[in-house]
Amino acid sequence: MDSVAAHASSLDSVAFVGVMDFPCSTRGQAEIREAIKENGLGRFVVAGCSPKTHERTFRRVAAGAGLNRFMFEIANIREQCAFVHAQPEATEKAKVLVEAATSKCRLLFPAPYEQVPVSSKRVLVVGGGLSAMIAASHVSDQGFGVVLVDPKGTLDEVSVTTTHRGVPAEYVRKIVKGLKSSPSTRMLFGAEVVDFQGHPGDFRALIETPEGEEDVRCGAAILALDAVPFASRAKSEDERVITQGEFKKLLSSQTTGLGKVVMIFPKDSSEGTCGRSCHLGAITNALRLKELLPSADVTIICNEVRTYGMYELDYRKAQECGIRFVRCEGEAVIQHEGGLRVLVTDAYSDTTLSLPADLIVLSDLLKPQDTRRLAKIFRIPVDMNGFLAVSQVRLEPASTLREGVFLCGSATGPRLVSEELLEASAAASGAVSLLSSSFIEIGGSVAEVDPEKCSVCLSCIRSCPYTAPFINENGKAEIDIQTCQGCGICVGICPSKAIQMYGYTDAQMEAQSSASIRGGGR
Amino acid sequence: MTDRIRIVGYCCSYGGYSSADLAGILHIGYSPDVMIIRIPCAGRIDVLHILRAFRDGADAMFVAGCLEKNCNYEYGNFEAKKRVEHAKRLLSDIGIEKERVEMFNVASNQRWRFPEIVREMVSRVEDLGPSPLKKVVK
Amino acid sequence: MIIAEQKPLKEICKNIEGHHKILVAGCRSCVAICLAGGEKEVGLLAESLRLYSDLNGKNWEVSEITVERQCEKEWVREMRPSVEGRDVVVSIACGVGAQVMQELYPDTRIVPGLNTSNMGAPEEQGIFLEKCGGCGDCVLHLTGGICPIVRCAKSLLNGPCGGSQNGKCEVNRETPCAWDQIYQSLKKFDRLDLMEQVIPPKNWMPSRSGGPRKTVRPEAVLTPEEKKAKEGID
Repeated sequence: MDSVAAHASSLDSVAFVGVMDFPCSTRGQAEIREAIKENGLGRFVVAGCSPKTHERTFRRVAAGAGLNRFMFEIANIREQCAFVHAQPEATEKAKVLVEAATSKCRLLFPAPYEQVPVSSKRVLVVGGGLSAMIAASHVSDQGFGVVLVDPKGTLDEVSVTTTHRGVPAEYVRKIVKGLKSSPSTRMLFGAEVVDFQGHPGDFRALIETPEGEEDVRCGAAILALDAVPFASRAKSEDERVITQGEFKKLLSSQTTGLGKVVMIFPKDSSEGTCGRSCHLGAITNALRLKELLPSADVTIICNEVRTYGMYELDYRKAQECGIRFVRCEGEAVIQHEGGLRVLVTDAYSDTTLSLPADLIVLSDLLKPQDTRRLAKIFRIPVDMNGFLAVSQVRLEPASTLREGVFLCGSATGPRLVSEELLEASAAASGAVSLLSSSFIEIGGSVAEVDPEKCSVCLSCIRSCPYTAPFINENGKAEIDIQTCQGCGICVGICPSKAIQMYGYTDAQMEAQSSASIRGGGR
Repeated sequence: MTDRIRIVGYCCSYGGYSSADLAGILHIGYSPDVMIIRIPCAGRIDVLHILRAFRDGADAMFVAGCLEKNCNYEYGNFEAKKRVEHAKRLLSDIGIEKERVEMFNVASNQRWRFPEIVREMVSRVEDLGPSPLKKVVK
Repeated sequence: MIIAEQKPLKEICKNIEGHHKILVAGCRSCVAICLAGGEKEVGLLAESLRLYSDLNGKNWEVSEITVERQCEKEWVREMRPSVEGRDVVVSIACGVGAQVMQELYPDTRIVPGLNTSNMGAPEEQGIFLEKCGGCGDCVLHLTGGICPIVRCAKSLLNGPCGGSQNGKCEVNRETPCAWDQIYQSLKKFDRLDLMEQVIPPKNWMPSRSGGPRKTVRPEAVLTPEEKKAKEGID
C-alpha cells in the first residue's frame, strides 16, 4: 500500500494521500470527511474495492463533506487487481489504476442533483376496468386522493363481472360503492389524458372531458388499461367457425350434432396476442363438452399450452379424457369448401394432418388498447407487441422506467384475473410508497444536450430506450433528467457531439484510458 | 509510448465490470496487462475512444457488454457492437489489424468468462505482436 | 436534405499527400444529420489521419473544426484562426461547403472528404433515400407526390417502362417502380385523370443546363442604397 500511496503523492494536483484499513467503515468515512475539510479538497479518489459495492457510501461521504456527491472516483484495486494478480504486478498495476482514477477525477465537475419535494399526494388512475377500480380503491384506502380517468361512460360493473371469471359481483359492487362515496376520489368519465408533464411528486395532467379540458395535479400515475378482445381474421363468415365465447353459450344450450370439434389456439402475431386465460378457457370448454357428450371428438391445435400453476391439472385432465393436442409450429389453415377441415403440420412427426371438423372454435385475440397514444404522452416505451414496457419484469413488474408512472391491468400484456388483482395492488403500493416520502431524488449520471451544438437530427430521440430526449420549445433536443437512466447511448450516437454525460464525458474517459496505458513506472 | 503490453477493456457496469468483479471475488487470475475502465453501458462507447486508445499505445482493446437481448439498458450492447464493427473497418483502412479490437458479451454471473476474454485478447496480441504504432521508429 | 458519404480513407490520404498541416472541417447541418460530416465524424477522421500518419511516418499535424453551416460566408469567415497556417483543409461538408471555403480561402487548398450525392430523406435511423432530382420544374402534383425524375431509374415522365414487374423496377428488384407508386397514389385520390395528362419532354433549362443556377429573391436583396448605408454602420 505504501508504494501505491507514494506513487499517488507524486501525481499532479494530489494534495493529500491517506492510507486506511476500511475507507467504507464509519470511521473511515469520518476520516475522509475530515481530510477533505481540513485540506480544502474539492474532489477525492478512493482506492479500494469495487465501486459497485460502495459507490453509494462515498456519495454520502462527499455530501457530508460539503461536496457535490459525484465529485469522486473509485479505483478498484481489490477485486480487479489484488485478488487476481500476483506480486509484484499487482502493486504496479494498482499504481496505474490510482493514476488513471486520478486523471479522470481531475476532470470531474458537479453533476445535477436535486431533492424535489413531493407536492401532490394525489394519484391519477387511467382506465375504467377491474384493475383501475382495484388500484384506485387501494390508493384511496391508504388515504391518498384519486382522480380516475375512464374513457367509457361509467364504471362498468356488469362487464367486469362477466369478463373476469371468479371475481364475485359482490366484491366489485363494494369497490365501486367505496369509490363513489369517497370524498377524496374524483371520477371523470368519457375522458382521456392528452398531456402529461412534470416530475414525480409534481405532475400535471391535461384531461379532455365532455365538459371541456381540465388540469389535474398529481404526484403519481397508474395506467390500469384493459386489452380489447376481438375475433381473429380467420373467423370469416362461415357459421361453423365460432369463438370460444360463442362456444361456451352453445354448450349451455345444445350439444347434439357436435361430433368433431377442432379448437385452434392463436399464435401471437401482429394481429394480436393470445390472452393468457384463453388456453384455460378453451380447455375448460372442451372438458365441459366431453362431460356433456363423452363421444365428442375434440382436437386442440396449439403451439404451446399456457395453463400454468394449478391449471396444469386441468390440462392433464383434458389429456386423460381423450382430448387430442396437436402441436404445430406454423399456421393451422382452415378449409371451408368440400367439407370443413383444418390443415396443420404436426411438429413432432412433421406430417401435415387434415382434420375434418363439424365445428371449429377460435380463441379471441387481445389487442392493447390506446397504449401507443398513452406511451407517447407519458413518455414510456412500448414493447414489440404494442403493450407498455415495465422497468424490470421480475423485480419491478408494476413500475415503468419513468419514476412515478405505474402499470397494471392489461397495460403490459394479457393477464389472468388473479394476476390483475395482484398487479393492481402492486401499482397502488408503488404509487403510495413514492408519495409517502417527503422528497424525490433526481439527477446523477445523466446526459445533457448543448443546444448550441445540437443539429436536431433526432438520432438521440430515435436511439434512447427510455424516451428521455425530446425537442424543447426552442426547437433543440433536451434530455429529461427524470427519465434519463444514464446509459450513454445518445452520447455515443450524437453526430454533432452535442450530448455529454456527467461522470462519463469523452474527456474524462480519455484521460482515464490514456493514463491506464501510459501510466505507472516508465 | 511504453514497451509493455497494454490492453484496454471498456466494461459496462452490469455485464463486463460485474463479471470482472466476480472473477476477483473468486480469485480467478488473469493477465495484469489488461486495464479495465468502467462505463455505465457498452452503448456509451464511441469509435473515437477506440482509435484514441491505439494512439495512446494500446496493443489491443475490447468492449465488454451484457449478453445480447439482456442489456441492462435494453440494447446498448447492440449499439456497442455496431461501433466496434465500424472501428474494425476504420482500423483496417488505417493499417492496424482489426483483430486488435473486439466486442464481447458477458453476464455478471459468468465467472469464467472475463478471464477467458482476457486470455483471448492477450493471445491475439501474442500472435499479432505489439501494436504496429510501436514499431515505427520516431 | 443533402446526402453525402465519406470518401474512403485511402483516397483522402492520397489527396493530402505532400501536405503537412491539415485541418479537418465539418458542418452541423445536412452532413451531420446524414452522419457523414458532423463534429463526431470530424473527430473520427482526424484521429484516423493521425494514426495513419504515425504508422506511415507522414508527420501530419491534424486539427479540427466544425461550424454551423459551411455554406454560409459568415460562419466560414469565423474559421479563419483555424485555417491560418494550414496547408490543406479536408472539408467534410457537402460540395457546397467545400466550395464556399475555397472561395473564402483562395490561398489554402481545400480537398473534399465527402462524395455529395443527392437530395433525400431519412427512411429510418441510418438509412437515407433519394427523393428529389432538383429539376427546377416540379410535377409532383401530377404524380401523386412521387418524383419521376429520381425515383424512376429512367426518369420517365409518362408511365412505366416494360420492365416494371410486380411494382418493382427492373434495374433493382428491391426498388419500387416509381410509376407503380404514382399510379397507386393517384388512384387513392381518385385522380387517375392526372396520369393521362401528358408531361411534355422536360425542359432541362431550370436544371442542369446553362451553368450554375442563380436564384434571386428581389424582395430580400439589399438595394445599393441599403448596402451603402450598411457600409457606414459596419
